Amino acid sequence: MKRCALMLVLVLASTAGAEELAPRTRALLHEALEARLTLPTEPPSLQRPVLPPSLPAPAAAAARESTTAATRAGQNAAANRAAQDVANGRGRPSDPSESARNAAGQARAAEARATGGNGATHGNPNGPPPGKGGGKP
Amino acid sequence: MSRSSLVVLALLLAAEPAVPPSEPHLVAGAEAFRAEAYDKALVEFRVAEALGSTEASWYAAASLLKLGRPEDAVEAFVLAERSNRAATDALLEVYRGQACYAAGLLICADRWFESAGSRAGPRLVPQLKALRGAIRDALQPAQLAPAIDGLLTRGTELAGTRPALAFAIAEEAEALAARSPTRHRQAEATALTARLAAPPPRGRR
Repeated sequence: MKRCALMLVLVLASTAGAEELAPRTRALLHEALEARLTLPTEPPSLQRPVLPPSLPAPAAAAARESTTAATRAGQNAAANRAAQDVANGRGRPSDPSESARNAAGQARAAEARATGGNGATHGNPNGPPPGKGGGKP
Repeated sequence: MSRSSLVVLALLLAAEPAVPPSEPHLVAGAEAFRAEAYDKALVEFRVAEALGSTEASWYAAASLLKLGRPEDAVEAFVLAERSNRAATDALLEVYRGQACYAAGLLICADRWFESAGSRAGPRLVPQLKALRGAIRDALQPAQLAPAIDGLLTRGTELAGTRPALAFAIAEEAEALAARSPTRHRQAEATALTARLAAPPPRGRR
């Protein structure tokens, strides 16, 4: 009995930390952020900028339409791949539960709608307009 | 070696740490971010988030900033902090400061630039210092009252629908009110901030 308990503890200990980010992934994320880091060059202002609305609820219908547009434009290739990946459980032997798959699918759809929908108005694949945090230094 | 010890050894060897399901999406998100495909990066980070990665939320927020959606980014950073406070670092704090800066939340920006500046590398430190100096200059007492009014209006509007963003705005109003010579609407700003503060944590998301 004691041996079984010990065995269980050891096996659990060996798999613990699986939810930790792999060092290589962390390094990739850090490098990506560092490579694209740009600081604002425009002077600060207490005057709040006029921002486009970020997908308000009444725009849901427009967003649905924009999904088609986004697909046509090929903007959500990654989204499709990701959703397919999630749906197939590919690359994740551990346990993509049904709810996780659903959640991922929803996340994909929501962001594809948001980015696709906003793409026509204020989304910008090359980064934000000057003064919105993305200007080159 | 006993037979049971061999079994344990075999199990240990077989039980490789499983790759979290979110990992491939974080990698794909990082690659897309690096390639300046921020819309793709955002989708990948959101999928990773939906698959259980609380760290992904921080990178989704950075992607929103790059997409020119600073208010959404501010909101996403607040939510990321609430779900995994420990996942941030100096670089993410610079992004967070930029989101605040672009959204016109200057005290918020100053706070994150200050925090990042204490840990950032030698290239960033003077730039962050210059930005903080410019923020100090922009905070003219005469302009505080109208700014507080605008923030409280916006924060109240958003309180019901986007409480995390409303919280960031209310916090800014509160901080500006504390600097205002007349403590303009300070009690109101404090009350709104308290109302929108995160509920006590109920364990990991």
